[in-house]
Amino acid sequence: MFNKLDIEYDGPPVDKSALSLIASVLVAGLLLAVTITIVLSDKGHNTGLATVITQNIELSGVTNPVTAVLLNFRAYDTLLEIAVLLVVVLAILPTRDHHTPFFKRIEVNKQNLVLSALQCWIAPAVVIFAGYLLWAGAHQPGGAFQAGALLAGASVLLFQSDTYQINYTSPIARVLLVLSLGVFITIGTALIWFEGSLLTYPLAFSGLLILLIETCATVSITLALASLYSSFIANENLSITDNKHRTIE
Amino acid sequence: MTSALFYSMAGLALFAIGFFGVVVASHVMRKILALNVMGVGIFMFLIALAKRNPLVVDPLPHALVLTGIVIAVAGTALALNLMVRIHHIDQSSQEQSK
Amino acid sequence: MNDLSSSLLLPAIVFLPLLAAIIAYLIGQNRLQGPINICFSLAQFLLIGLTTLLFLHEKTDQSERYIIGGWGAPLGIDLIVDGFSILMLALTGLLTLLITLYSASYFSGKYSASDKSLRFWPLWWLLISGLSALFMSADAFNIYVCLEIIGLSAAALVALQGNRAALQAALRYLLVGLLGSLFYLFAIAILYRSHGTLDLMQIAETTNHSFPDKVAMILITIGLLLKIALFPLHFWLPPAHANAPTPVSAILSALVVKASLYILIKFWFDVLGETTTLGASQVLGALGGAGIIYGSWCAFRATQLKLLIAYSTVAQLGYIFLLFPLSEYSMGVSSFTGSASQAAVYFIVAHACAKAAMFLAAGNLILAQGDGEIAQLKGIAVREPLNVLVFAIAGISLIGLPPSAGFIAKWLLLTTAIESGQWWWVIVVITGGLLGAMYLFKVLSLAFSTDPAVIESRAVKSTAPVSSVSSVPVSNVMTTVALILALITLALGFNAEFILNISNTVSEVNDI
Repeated sequence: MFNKLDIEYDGPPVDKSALSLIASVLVAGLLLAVTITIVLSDKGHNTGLATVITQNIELSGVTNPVTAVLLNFRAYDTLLEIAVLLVVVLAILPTRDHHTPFFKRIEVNKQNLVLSALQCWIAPAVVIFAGYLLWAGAHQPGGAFQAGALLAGASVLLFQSDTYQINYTSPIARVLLVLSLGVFITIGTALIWFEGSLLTYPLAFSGLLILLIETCATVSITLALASLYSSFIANENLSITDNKHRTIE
Repeated sequence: MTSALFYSMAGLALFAIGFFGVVVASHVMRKILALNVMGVGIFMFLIALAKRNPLVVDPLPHALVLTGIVIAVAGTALALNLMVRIHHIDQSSQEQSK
Repeated sequence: MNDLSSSLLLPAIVFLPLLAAIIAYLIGQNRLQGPINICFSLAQFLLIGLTTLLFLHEKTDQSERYIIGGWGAPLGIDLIVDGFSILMLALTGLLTLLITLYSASYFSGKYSASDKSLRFWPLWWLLISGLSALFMSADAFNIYVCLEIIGLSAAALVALQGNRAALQAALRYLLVGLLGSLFYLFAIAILYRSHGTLDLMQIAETTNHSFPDKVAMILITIGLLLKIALFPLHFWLPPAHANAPTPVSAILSALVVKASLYILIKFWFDVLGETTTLGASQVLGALGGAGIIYGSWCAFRATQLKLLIAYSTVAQLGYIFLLFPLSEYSMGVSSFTGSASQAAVYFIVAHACAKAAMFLAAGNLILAQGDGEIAQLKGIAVREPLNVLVFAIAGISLIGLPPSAGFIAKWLLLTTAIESGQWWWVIVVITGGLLGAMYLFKVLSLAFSTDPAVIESRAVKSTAPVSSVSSVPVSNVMTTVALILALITLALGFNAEFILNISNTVSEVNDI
């Protein structure tokens, strides 16, 4: 069975045999039973890290504990997570076409009234709300990722018509896409100089630095998510060119 | 039974259902969706875990879930992209054979 | 001043590749791309070399910690290095340097479309930073993030080839990797629930025979076995490794599978060592043994050169898994000490160098031949003597013939098996060696065949301009890099002390 899968992998994985069906039901059921037994039998560690985080929240520069964990206590994770997003953007984005400008607005004669009205009214409101979320992240739920996701949602609305176009391979787009990772690394490394350890914020500036990193992260995340979305719309060209450029191997 | 316990069991159930889907589903799209269901199950388990002590909320799992969601989005996007590219190659080769 | 834990070296090892990725992405298509990347790889190599020297110089029994953000575990994330991780880092540094040199020629536009190099370099550096971060991580969730960086960038690199087979292999690789990571993440959630911390050492301190810990260990093992591609979960590996661009194949076989293996060893022996049982380790050993036989057999039957090498990776991973049954087991805890762990560590290093050399040489041969079919390699030794030599040396190491790194690794494995009285593993190892000799000599005998008719037809072909379009002369750099790796494999066979010295450090560290 595996031998066939190995060499002649044809089409998406198809596994309809009764044996695998029964086996997976059994495994999934066992998994469920075992893990539920854990939950029922074991009380678990009582509070986790809640007390430690509450004790140190004063030193983190923000008052929202989740933001404190994400951007101060475990900032290294967040940095690597931005790198994960960058990996996917790099893998998906088309690589040609550097010369068209970053942002282009084309006048279209036939306009969809509802769509253009939504674009005019909702998109700016979303931008303002995203700015608020970003700011509010310091003391209540919110922050870079929420704001970025919201803005990317607004970009979906914008790209419904052909009026607005963004060229994700233009130099500006490249800079904006790597902005958050670059700023994060720069600040993190610069802090070694001042504070003696990686990503150690000085107490007086920690709130400000976190806001700066979050703002850059919002920009990069928005652009990354928007580019992922539009790559699915404009995928046709990409895949055909890739196919044509089959090279020597 | 506390609500946190209920939610964590629901999360575990989602994980198991997702696993079943990943193994059994024949189409790649379904497999990707099933992987996402598995991921959501873990996230739900983590969020329920944050409230396992009724008096204290543990913010750490929330942060883990936020990180996990971004990673899940990234993985899903890459998988979908690969799927679409394979689909386009198949389409263009079909057109050529016509 | 020499204190590793307060120096900048450890974070720099992660940040330098990230910086390189950003710069490689920003400069885009440029003639400077190659030289800049070579400079970065040299800097990375020197950084890691310096770290290794400092670590060896200090000769501490303890592992070194670097505290990020000044918080310290459990609140913050720590970096940690011990002998084993230093060894893996050193291996990463060496292979980064050599494969970057190779890739600078490979992606220079002569052998591949230019837009490939635009994607390759940033992804390559992100993969390296993920690997470096993984080998230093002391935090369970941080390891998850690192695994995802590695998994996603590796899949994206496989997809770089752009044809249908490569895309499919990449998709499969990605889905398997995501599934494995989810199992791992689930285990982390369970561990956090019962221990209230994510730091590996702190989990290790509070671990016990409890049921949740056992389940977590099982989930971690399943998830990571998927990523390591141990038989019978290896089904995704051969197509992914065979269809990737040559430098990517080399790093995938040499390091990426070892990264998950490293985490598994860490959990199995250090973090959740209490939960392991003799029976479980015998099962892992049996799967490894089956992998040896099955992988070698499939390699023997493969018709594509790169597929043969990929199957050989499945077989070689099986040898490393014999570590689990052969390691010393006392007081319900198996320990990463003694000759079994030395053999495993040596095997990891030997296989990484030999397999990278072999993939690079195979890539060169395929470029020279214009075809990946093994049958087409007849008489290639006349035209590409150096690359065939590299292939032969790497093959000798993989079979386990003296004098090579593979020989010492196998020797250690065999003596351990005999000492511990588990003679059945001896049979498996010897059978695997014979099968390995079969599939490698099959290729070599074809390459060295001096059938005059073949050479003549080849000569006729090369004069005819149309038929030889697909074959390109291989650049000297690419051959030299492969040769250097092969020579390192040989040198490791003569100078076993060096690696064993570090692996002795490993045993000391883990004793405590």
